[in-house]
Amino acid sequence: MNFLNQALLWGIAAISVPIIIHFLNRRRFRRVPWAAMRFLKVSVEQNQRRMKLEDWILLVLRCALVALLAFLMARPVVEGLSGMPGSKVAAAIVLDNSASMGSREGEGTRLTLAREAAHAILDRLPGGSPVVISGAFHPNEASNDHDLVSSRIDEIAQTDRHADLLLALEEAVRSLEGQAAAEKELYLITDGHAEEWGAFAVLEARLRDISAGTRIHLVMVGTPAPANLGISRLTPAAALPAVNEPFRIDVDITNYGSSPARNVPVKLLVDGQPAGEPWMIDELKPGSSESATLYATLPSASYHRVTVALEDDGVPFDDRRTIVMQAMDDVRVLLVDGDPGVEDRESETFFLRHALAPVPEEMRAAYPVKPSVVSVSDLAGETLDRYHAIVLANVADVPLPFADRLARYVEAGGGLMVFPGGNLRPESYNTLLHGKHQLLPVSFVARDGNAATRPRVMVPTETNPLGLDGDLLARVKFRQVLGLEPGDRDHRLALRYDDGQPALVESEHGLGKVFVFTSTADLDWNDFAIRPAFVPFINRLLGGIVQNRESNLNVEAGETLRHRLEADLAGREATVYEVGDPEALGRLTTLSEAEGSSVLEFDRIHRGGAYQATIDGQPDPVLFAVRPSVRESSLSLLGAEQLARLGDSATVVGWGTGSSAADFGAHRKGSELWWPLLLVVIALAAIEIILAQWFSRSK
Amino acid sequence: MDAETRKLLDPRTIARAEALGMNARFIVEGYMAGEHKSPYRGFAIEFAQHREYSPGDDVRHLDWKVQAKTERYYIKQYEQETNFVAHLLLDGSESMKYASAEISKLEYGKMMAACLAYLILHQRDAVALGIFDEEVREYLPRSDNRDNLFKIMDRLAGFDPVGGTRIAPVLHGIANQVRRKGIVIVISDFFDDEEEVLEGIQHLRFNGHEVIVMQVLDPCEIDFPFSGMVEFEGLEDLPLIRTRPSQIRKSYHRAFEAFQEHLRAACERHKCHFVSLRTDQSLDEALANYLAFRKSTSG
Repeated sequence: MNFLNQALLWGIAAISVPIIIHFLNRRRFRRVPWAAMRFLKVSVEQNQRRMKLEDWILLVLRCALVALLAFLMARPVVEGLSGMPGSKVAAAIVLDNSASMGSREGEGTRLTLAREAAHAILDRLPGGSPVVISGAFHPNEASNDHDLVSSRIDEIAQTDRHADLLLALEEAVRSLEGQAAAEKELYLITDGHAEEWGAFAVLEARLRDISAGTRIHLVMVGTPAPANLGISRLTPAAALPAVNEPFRIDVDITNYGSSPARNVPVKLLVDGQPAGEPWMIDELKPGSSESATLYATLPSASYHRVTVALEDDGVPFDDRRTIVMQAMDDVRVLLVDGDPGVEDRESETFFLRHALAPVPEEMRAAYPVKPSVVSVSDLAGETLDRYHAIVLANVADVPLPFADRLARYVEAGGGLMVFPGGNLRPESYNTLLHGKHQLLPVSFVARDGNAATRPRVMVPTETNPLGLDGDLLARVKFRQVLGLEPGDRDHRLALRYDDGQPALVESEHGLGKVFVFTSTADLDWNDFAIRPAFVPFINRLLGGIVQNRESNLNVEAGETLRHRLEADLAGREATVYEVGDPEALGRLTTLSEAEGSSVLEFDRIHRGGAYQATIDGQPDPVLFAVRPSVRESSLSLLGAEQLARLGDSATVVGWGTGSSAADFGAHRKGSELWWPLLLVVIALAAIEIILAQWFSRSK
Repeated sequence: MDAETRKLLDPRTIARAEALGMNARFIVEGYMAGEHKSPYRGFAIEFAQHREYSPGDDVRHLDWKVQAKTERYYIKQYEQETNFVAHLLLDGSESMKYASAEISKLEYGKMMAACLAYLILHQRDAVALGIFDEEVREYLPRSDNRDNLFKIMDRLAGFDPVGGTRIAPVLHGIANQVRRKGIVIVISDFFDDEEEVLEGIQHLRFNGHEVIVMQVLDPCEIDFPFSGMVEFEGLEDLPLIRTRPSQIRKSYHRAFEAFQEHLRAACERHKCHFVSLRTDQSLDEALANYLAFRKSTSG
């Protein structure tokens, strides 16, 4: 027999307390002069032995009660007992199901081994122990039903996500906090993927804290994978892919292994069908990346899945990546010219027009982007809904009726670009478009007066949402810009000047998108229009507007899909399926209401691939793609030194094929006896009370 | 009359006692005419009946008139009206000092003796007083003089107990010394050897005395209501006893009731009145109850 609080055994010395009280009570009496002594003497003589016996019984009971209480508090543990309440432990089993756990191990994967380890742990837990089983992202409720827990282990699915093990540990510790069991055990079953232990010092410190009240076991599964080639980047070069027009797709392939790879084929699939010949990478050195250039052609003006695939290796999740793209066959842009000039070249929209359709005159009819130019006075006759985007170029005042139409147009999904110039009167824009309709997220403040002293240079922001080349932008000189004052509406800074002033601001309004530039679209305030960066800049803006609705259709595993749709779809149900797996059980979600739109929100996407959401009453499903976490592609695992450090606060156990379940639970000293002892203490206390009453009655 | 004496003569008690009067259970012989009739038919005042002459009768009591009429010899018999002597014997041992409240058993006994003395003297009967413990400590010879009352009160009030209890020798002594039959009233707690006490009573009864046994008890002695650990200190140099009364209460009650029952049964057997008195009982009520009982049983 062992004791978990051995020091409390000294409490047994407290049995002296009832003995002392007993003798003190015998000394505490009152003296009464008495005449009828003969009857008293007879009575005492008759009852003397009985009274002494009763006193001794009570004294022994009280001493036993105190001794047992001290014994109970010392938490005795007896080996070989099971099924008793005191023998239960509260256990939390965290099963790492991040992307790296999908690495192949023999016939299965690391996750297969992890499940086996979890079953072995469960089998070694005392019956009835409350157990919490959770994946790295899926906390569960504690359950005493080990069959249920066992089924939950099998339900933990492989993901293509990057795990935050610290978060998973915190969840597990929280789940243990409410458990009544005296001993708590935390099992983390993981492959020790170094990326998940990135903040190693933090995690190590936290494990040390947790180990103060909980026994931690780190169960390491799997062996280091010898090689892994993975897709580390997939970017379409074209912002506006046209129907049946080949467009470039840039792909980076990285060798995460320690040996070079040769003759690596990179395949392209459109809507699941192979497209063209695979790109061959002759040699891929360890730790390096190589780019592959693939050309895809989208067959119709709708959404398509573009997939890049490598040959399967031991780490399959990063061998395939899909994005969703929309092909356009006719993109119409309305250019509102606020300063037409005398000659065509003097027009405010001259460079814009050419940038939007950067092809020779004879090819413009076939080119998908079709710009149209109107003056402000002709705006009344234009039907805005015909256009994908409207550009206001140095327009002095926004006519009131046009402002109303423009707001409705953008809200319904249209795009707006604003280029200022010498004619622009800030009050008109600020009052109508910023103030009244809140179409512009910013207001114009004043013209820049010191432009002549120091020309500015435009630089992308850190996120560089337009994907512009910083070197090309650096060649552009901005002599004059219009200041912006941010308002209450959400907006993002897409480009800024080298002095920190905003250059390009983007925002959403309803289903539409708005870009506000702070300099001219012609050469009045800058030389942008004649620089190489101008054409991609304008095309990226247009691409951003046209594909605004699709911009959130490509998410990383674990991210929440938020896709805006028409406002009247709010409240409708949508069913999400994985494309190509029609047998899979669809998962339901409901479209929520947002400002001027509805939102398809879905946060249960854990695997890479293409998905479709079928909305009630809508003929065409919404297609979206999920990419695996790139961080999981690395092969590096925790080193021996790191495992040794973790061993200070946790028991590190290796688990592989053929490992023995005996590794788990061997630390347990046995079953605690507190529950039966507590019952005995309660019984003794009850007996003492009853006997004390019984003995003190008149006899 | 000092305060102690006045206390013994509670006017209410005495008034109730006078109202009810006192009838002796038996007719005793006495010197003076009173309400009590002598059992001896003698020569005195009042004719009782005729009895046929038998040899040895005093010829002076022959009724010659009857002889002349009937030619038979008849003796005249008379009833003589007489007074009685009451011997008040009060236990003055230390055990009588016990008091759970204001009044000790001795004080209660003294008041009872005072009341009886006043009552008897008021009826022009004679009273003798004895206060005893292991022997007679105070004794006032019989007297029917009402002035003697004050002496009785003084003796009662002035007595302070010092010794243990031995009732039997006192009763035997009274039986041996008092030749005239009278009423012997013993006021005590009778915490003594019952058999010896009963022998003394038997002796008195054998000599023709009426014996009234008045047992004075404290309510605590009857109920034994103590709790907790108590050390009992014997009043007559008995050893200390430390015990938990609650654990022996029933046993004590059994022993005490057995003692009382034995005393009561023995008194009935010897045709004595047994009167049990509690010190928390009002004295006039106790006295009135007894006198009423006595009147009802005297015929």
